[in-house]
Amino acid sequence: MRPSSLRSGFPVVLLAATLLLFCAAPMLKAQGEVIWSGLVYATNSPAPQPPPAQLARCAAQLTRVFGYNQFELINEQQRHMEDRKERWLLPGKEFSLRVSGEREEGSEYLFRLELYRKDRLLVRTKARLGAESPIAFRGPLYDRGQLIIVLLVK
Amino acid sequence: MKSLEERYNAWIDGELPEAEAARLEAELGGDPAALRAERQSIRHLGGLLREHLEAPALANAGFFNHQLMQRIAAQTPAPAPARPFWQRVGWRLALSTALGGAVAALALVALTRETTLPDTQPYQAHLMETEPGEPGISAVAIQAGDEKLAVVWIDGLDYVPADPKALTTGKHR
Repeated sequence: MRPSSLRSGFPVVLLAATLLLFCAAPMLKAQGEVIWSGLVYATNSPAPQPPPAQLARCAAQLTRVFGYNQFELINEQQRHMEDRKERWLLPGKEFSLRVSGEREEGSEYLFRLELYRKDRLLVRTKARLGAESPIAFRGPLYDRGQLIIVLLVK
Repeated sequence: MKSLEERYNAWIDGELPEAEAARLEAELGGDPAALRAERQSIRHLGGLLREHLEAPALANAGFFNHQLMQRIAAQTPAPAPARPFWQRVGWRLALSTALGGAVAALALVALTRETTLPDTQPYQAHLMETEPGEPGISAVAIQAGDEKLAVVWIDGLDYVPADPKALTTGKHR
């Protein structure tokens, strides 16, 4: 190829790179989104321990809604989100959560969630989540308190 | 003291005194008769040049000069007009620069559009559909008032005895 041909083709290549970058930016960002889930043991204690860091932002909300003042994180898991790809979260003998997400406008996701206890489907729900805007599932009574499953996009 | 060239020219023209002429001929060396023949030949050539090669006088020198300058001007290429910057650097470079700027601007727009939302966005999780998975279980979606918290309130679940290991171990389904 002659140098002049290279020069004449350069603007086209640059334009293609521009379009590619513009289109790829949301995908790159989307791959950076993380969905976090935690299995929380909620109790009432006369001397409550501070909540774990992962729940620091929503502990007060959980207290007001569920009425418990202490939250322990029993299990947690986080995954990078990809459009329309199913993920299993909270692997355990008792509880598992199947999540498939679809990115919508901005940093919002439309999730399809299925909460299982062993092989039994407990609940199926569709929810729209934004960053740091959690969903909590009121789980069964456990020991001297209650289990809560928390899901949020980081 | 005159140089050899000056004395030689004076000797050719016959203007050198006899004593100096004799000294110069001795310096030049060779046959004196041959030297005098050479001097005579040079004088003859000078005479011919003065006689026959005199420049003809111009009848109208001013008109001749005017014509000459016009012909020189007609044959001299006109200087190229000054071109603008983008023509001088070449359209490819100008286009590449513009596209490079576009790349940077679009990348900035795309990245900032995707990275400036999270913490300041007053968005609340919203439950759209909720249904229980089996009879005997109820599931209700609750939007927790002013809280940025959506709750799926499940009732009818069996009590779970304390067994942390059962909650933390296992495999993906």
